[in-house]
Formats: sequence, C-alpha cells, structure tokens
Amino acid sequence: MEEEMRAHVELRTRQNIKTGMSPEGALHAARRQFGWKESIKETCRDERGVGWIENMGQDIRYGARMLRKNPGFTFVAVLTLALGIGICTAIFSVVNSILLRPMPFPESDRLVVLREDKLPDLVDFAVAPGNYFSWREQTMSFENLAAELTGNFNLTGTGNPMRLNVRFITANYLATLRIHPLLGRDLRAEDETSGHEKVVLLSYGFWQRQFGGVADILERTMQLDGNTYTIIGVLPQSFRRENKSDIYAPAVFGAQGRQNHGAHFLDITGRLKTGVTLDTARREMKVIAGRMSEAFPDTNKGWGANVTSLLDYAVGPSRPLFFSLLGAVSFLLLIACANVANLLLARATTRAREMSVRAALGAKRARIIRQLLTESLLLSGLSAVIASVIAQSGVRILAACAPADLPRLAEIAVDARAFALTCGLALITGISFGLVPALRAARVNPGDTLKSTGRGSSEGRRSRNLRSALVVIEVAVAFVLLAGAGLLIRSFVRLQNVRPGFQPDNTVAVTVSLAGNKYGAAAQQAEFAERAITQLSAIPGVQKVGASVVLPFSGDDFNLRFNIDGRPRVDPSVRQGTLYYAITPAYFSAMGVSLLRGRFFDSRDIAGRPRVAIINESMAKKFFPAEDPIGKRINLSNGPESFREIVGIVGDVKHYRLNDEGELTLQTYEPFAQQPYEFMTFVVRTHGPQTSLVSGIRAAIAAIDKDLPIASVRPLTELLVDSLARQRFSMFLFAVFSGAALLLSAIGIYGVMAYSVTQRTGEIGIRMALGAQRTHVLGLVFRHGGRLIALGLVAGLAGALALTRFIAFMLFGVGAYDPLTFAMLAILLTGVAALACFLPARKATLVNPMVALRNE
Amino acid sequence: MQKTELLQGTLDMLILKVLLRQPVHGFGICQRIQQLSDEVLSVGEGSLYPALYRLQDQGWIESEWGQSENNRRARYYRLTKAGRKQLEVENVGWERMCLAIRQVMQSA
Repeated sequence: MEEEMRAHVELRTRQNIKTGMSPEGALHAARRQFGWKESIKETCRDERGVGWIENMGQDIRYGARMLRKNPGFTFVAVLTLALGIGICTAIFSVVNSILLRPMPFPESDRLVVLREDKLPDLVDFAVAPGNYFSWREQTMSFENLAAELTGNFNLTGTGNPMRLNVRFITANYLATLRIHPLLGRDLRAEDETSGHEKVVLLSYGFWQRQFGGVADILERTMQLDGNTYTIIGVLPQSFRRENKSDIYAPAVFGAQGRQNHGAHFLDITGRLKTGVTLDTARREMKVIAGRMSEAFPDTNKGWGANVTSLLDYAVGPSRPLFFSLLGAVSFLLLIACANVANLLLARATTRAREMSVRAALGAKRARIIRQLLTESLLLSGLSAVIASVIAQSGVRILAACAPADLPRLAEIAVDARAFALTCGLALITGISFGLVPALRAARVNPGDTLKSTGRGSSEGRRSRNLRSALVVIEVAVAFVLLAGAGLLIRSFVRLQNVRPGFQPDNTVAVTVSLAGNKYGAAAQQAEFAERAITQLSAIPGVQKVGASVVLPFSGDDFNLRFNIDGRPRVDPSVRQGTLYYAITPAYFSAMGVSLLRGRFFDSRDIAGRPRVAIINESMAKKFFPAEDPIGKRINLSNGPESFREIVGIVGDVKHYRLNDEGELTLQTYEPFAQQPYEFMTFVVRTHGPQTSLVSGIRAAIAAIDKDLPIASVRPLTELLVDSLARQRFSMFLFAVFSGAALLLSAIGIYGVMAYSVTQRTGEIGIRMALGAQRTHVLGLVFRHGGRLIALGLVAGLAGALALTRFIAFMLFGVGAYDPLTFAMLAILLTGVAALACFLPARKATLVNPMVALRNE
Repeated sequence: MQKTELLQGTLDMLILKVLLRQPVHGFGICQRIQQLSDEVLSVGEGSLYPALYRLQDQGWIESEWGQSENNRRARYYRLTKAGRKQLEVENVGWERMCLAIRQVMQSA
C-alpha cells in the first residue's frame, strides 16, 4: 500500500510540474492533496475486512498497554478474579470428585450396598452371614452378591513383625466389582473351602512397599498369624476402597457360620442384573426379609433389608457438608465478580472522554467495542492463568487437610469442567461490565461528553448507583459468610473445651492383636496382658500402664445388651445396650478417670473369683436413680449368663465424639482377667514427654514375644484432635472464605469511596472555600460510606437469618441465630468497612480548594 | 472549482465505468473521472483508495503491479467478469433513479 501511494504522489507531482509548479512545490502540493496517509490506510484496512489477525494483534497490544498504564486497577482486578475463580474451582472440583463422579468401577451405577435394619432403633446395620447366604440363594435381582469384612493379620518372618490390614472377601467379590487382578489370578470358589483358603491377593500399594514391586511375586509365601499363605495375585493400582487394605484373603465360613443369622458383621456389595431397577430390588428384598423373619423368629424377627446405590451409600451422609461449602464458595465468587464489575464500571466512566475523542477523530464504533472486548479478554485471560495455579494448589491443600474419613478422598483432582464453568462466569462478568459502558459511550454524541465535566451527568449517576448497589450486595454477602464462619468457630472452640472424661496428656495408646495358636486359650491371653503391663511399666519414665479391649476415640466400639438382677427381663426386641470395656486394674488411673464411689478393680478380681463390674455415672443415674448401685448385680450378653456385682462408679468418658450424649454414654467395665480377649490396647502414661518411648514399648513387647507386632503408638491427644477433623475442616474453609470476602468487600468499599471523592473534588473544594471544616468533609465521606455499609449490614443480617439454618447440623453449643456472634461480626465488618472509608476520607480533607476550583 | 459531493455508491459505479475500457492505476482513475466530467467531479485520495479496496473485496475489480508512465511500479486495477455485471446493475439502478428525480423536479 505504501508503495502504491508513493507512486500516486509521484504521478501527481509530474502533473503538477506540467501545469507549471516548481518541483518542490509540485511534490508538496501532491502530498498535501493526498491527505493523511495513515488515516487512509486505516480506513482501507477497515474496508478490507481481511487481515483481522493484524487487527487483533493491534488490539491486543493496545489493550496490554492500557492495562499496564493502570497497574493498580489491573492488579486488583486480576487478583480478585483469580482468587474468586481459583477458590471456586478448587471447591467445585472437590465436590465433583466426591459427590458427582461415578465410582471408579465399570458400570458403577449398577452397584448397590445391602444392609440390614431393625426399625426404629437400628437403621443401618451390618449383615449376618446366614442372611447373606440365604439372600444369595433366593434373590433374582442381582447378578452377584459379595460379602466382605475387615480384620488384621500379624505378618512375621520378615524382619520386624508387622500388623496388616486385611479385607476378607468372598470369591465373587472382584467379579462383582468387575475388577481384574493386575498379576496372577482372582479368587475361585474352592478358595472358600477349608484347606484351600490360605491364599492372598496383594494390594498394589502393599506390593510396592513391602516387596518393591518385584515381578515374580506369584507363588511366594507369607507368614500370617503363624500360618503360611501363598500369594496368588496383585490388584491394580486404580483399585481403592475405604479403610485401605494391604491384603485380600478369602472369607471362610464353616457350615455353622453359614447358618448364623444372629451375628451381624458383614458388608454386602451387589451388582444389579441388567434391566433390574433399584426399586424392584428393594421390593424383592423386602419380601425375602419378611420370609426369613418368619422362618427364623429367634434371630430375624423385626429385621429388614435395605438396598442403596453404592455412590449414595458412600457419599450420602457427607452431602450436607459439601452443599454448604458449595453455597459459601458461590457467595465468594459473587463478591469477586461484583468487585470486578465495580472496577470496570469506574474505569469505563473515566474513559468515557477517551472514547468520545476517538469517536470524534473517526474511529468506528465497532472498532472501539472490539478493542474494549479485547482488553476485557486479556484481563480475564490473565486471571484465568493465575486462577488455575490457585486451583491446583487449593485442591492439593484441601486433600491434605481434609478429614481422613472423608469418602473417596483419594479421588480428589482438579476438574476441567469446574474450571471452565468458573472461567466462563468470570468472563461473562468481565465482558458485560466492560462493554456496557463502552456501548453507551459510543452511542452518546461525542460532543456532549467532551463538553460536560462528568459531574451530575445522567450516565454518571446511573453508573454510580449501580456501583453503590454492588457494594451493598458485597457487604451483605460478606456478612453472611462471616456469620457462618463465626458460628463454626465458636462451635469448634466449645467442642474443644468439652472435657473428655479422662486426661489425655503424656499418654499413648498401643494396640496388640494376639494371633494364631499361641494364644488360643483365655488363660494365655490374660497372662500375656499381665506380662506386658509388667514389661511396659519397667520402661524408664513410665508412670502407669493399663489395658482395655477397646479404647475410646479409637474408632472401635463394643456394645452389649445387659440385664439388671431383680428387674424384669428386657425383651430381646427392645434395645438396651451399653458400651463395654474389659480392663486391667490400673486402666482408670492410667487414663486419669475419676472414681466416684466404691473401688477400682484389683488383684482380687481374677479368674475363678466372684465376677465384678464397674459402671459409669450415666448408667448409675439412669438405672439406679433412687438407690445405691454398689452391690447390685448386672449381666452382660457376651457369654453364658453370669451376674457381676457392681463394685464401683466412675466418671463418664466420651467414646465416639466429644459431643456424645444420651444413650451413647452408658458404660460398663469388667476385669480383663475375668474376661480376656485376644486383642487389647495398652494405655501408657509417662511423667513427661519421653523421646525413646516408642522403641522402649517395642522392646518390651518383643521381650515377651518377638513375633508380635504392635500397631502404631499414638498419643491420646492425637486421637482427640483427629476426632475433631471434620469440624476443623469446615471451620477452616469457612474462615478462609469469609476472610477473602471481607478483604474483597473492603477493597470494593474503598474503590467506590475513592472514586466518589475524586468525582466530588469540585464540590468539596467549594465547600471548603465557603468555610467548611475538615471534620465536616470527613463527615461527608463517612456519611456516604456509612449509608452503604448500614444497608449492607441490614441485608446481610436478613440473609444470615435465612441461611444459617443450613449449617445448623454442624454447630455445637451455639444456636444458628446466636445474637452475640452476629453482633460481634457486625462490629467487625463495620470496623473494617470504616477503615476502608478512612483513606479516601483523609484524601478528601487534603483537597486544596484553590486547585479544585481551578479545575472546574 | 466547485466540489460536488459524491455519494459513496456513485463513486463505486464511476470507478467501474472508468475501468471498463482498460486497466488503470489509482492516479489514472482520479484523472479520468475529472476529465470525463469536465472537472465537475474530483475524487479525493481519501475516498478513492478505500473505495478501490472495497471493490476489490467484493470481487468486482482485481489488481496487479505494472509500470507507470514515469517507469515506476504502480498498481493497475481492472474489471472482473462479476464487476462487469455489477456495472450493468448499477447503471440500470442509476438510470431509474435519475428518471425519478427528474420527474419530481419537473412536476408542477
């Protein structure tokens, strides 16, 4: 094009010379005639329509330059958007991974979980083997029904003895899930028969950790609980189930076991036949359970069966938690978008003059719009890049500090769809609020905008109202989030302060399972416990040692039915159970549980002597309200009928969670020596922190039996902290969201106030010239800001009252409408908002009236 | 010399007509229009070149580099077949409009 124009000019020059002009004059005249080359070039380019890539490049460069010229605006806008998108994507990803994505099995929507229930007391109970086998024979709805239970094996013969998590499965378990072993073979029906059952499958992780992932793993043997097991296969890396298991062994039921309809300990997974619906299966199971209720009235009367989809069963109970998190993070995104919208609106009004000038100089409306669009896209693009980094690390942080019992924890990953969704939302915000003012400005007659000073123009006012409305919304939403966080924090503090009933400091727990033939008899088990306590007590620094068959806050529990002597027998269909512990005499002092009446167990209470029991305060209050329990007799259902005399009352101990109440607090103890078990947990209390305690404990146990592994040594304080993991998790997240919301709202308020001050500089100047004091000017700004904040608080209060009920299920000791919490948060929010107003207010008082008036 | 303002559409038509006989370069088109209209119509470069690019875009003219009178490279434009047809169409339209205007102006 350049060349063509030059040629044109030269030709005209020649003509001019012919008509008599001097050469320079001719050239000059020709050039002048040609006109403004650049403008012509641009118009030509526009006419062409081709070369849009060139145009876009120009737009991008121009947009980047604009963004760089306003670093403050760019920084705040990009960071706000990035935070909003990033955090939202992280939460959306987690929710999607856990709640929405199908389980990682082929056709997992056909997989179901079968449980038993005995309404109205037992809603979700394990299945008895007798029932399982009967179902297998009788049902038509299922392609396969598999059973599993978890347990432990002691691995010996390879260096230190190890305690392994085992999953005992029926032969059709893997087939039901449609999982094929990575190496070797699946279980076969004959592996369930005695004589052939000593085979195991290794989990992928265990194969890597224990055997270094060697290729020739098949046909090797392991010593488990004193028996030789052959390794027949390895499972794929992708196969993961809750309660991670190291090895999988066949679940063997003898003839008696298959007839046992009363002991409930199996988990059943089934695959529906193609074409069979969940409802059909439910109805069939109802009929079958009814049939069995009549066939086996002693064990099955009142028992039913229920069928739930695998996904529902795994994640259903966690849904309320996740939905509340989702709601909270959506609010955060709302605030982020509102802030960005505010920023863009402010900038648009500032640039209205620039747009008018360009329009006056001949720029096409479409061109201006395209340029602004490119700028918004650049902004959004930059935010999206930073957001993806935030999202990735956010997901990793969430996975790391999530409670260990969160379902499908291992499957959390960043979700592309979530990212696309949140990016899309941010993009829409950016584009709409970036473009709308541009469209308006381009429509308005450039002359008007250039003439006016921007004060009081109707366009400016509408924009200002919109921005004020956005700030009010931000403050309101921030208050709602703060309310949620505040309530959760107070609940958490309340929960942490609950007394557990024992002294957890300087005390550790060690679990031991006596396996195999060496400890089959009760006497051997009791003897082991005694020897272990002696050995452990000898460790330097150890103050007291006790043992119990099951420990509070360990995740295990032992529930038994009971009857009190002299009272009418309780019908088996009525629920009357107590938490049960078989303990050594020093258990209570090792745990730091207080004795209220009577005595602890001592050397009198051994095998062959009269049986005794100790109950806790809640038991005493509930069943002996008007009389002394000491001397009364109680029978427990863990053996043939044998009444124990109650010799003492101890304080209540929380067992499952710190917020246990009601029936969960009935506790009964009997001496381990009189009722030994093959597993027990030792409680070791030391004078203070001991550095080599763990190795000392290991040595002590090894001294008795070198083939006996111990599970990890855990301080009791750690058990308590873990029990609060879920509450801590939700509190932490809500605190992060509300903190971010508070920050963003403060920025929003600051932005609006600062802008308003700039706009009203003239007015302020006039006022000051007429004699207004600084305080008056301060008051002006604070009044404006105060109005917005007050409106926001009122709206926020209404919102909080409406919405906190959705997190009521997570609260403890604090009501969903707690006035104290709301009041404190209102003060906090007002304080922060006032601070945000302060800086612009100060700037207002520094206005020099002379300068301001001159600029009018 | 009074400069009569040209409607954008008319300029396109004039250019096509000028190119009907033979390919011409940009400056030449300016000159021809000026000459043929007895100096009544003069086309400014600001209007000419955008128009040329527009016509090129529509596919009614095409260009190629050639040698100008003073032995310099210049871009020559010529009509395409589609352009020839378009000229016909515009001509008919123009005639019709002229007739209409004349009728209005000559009415009582």
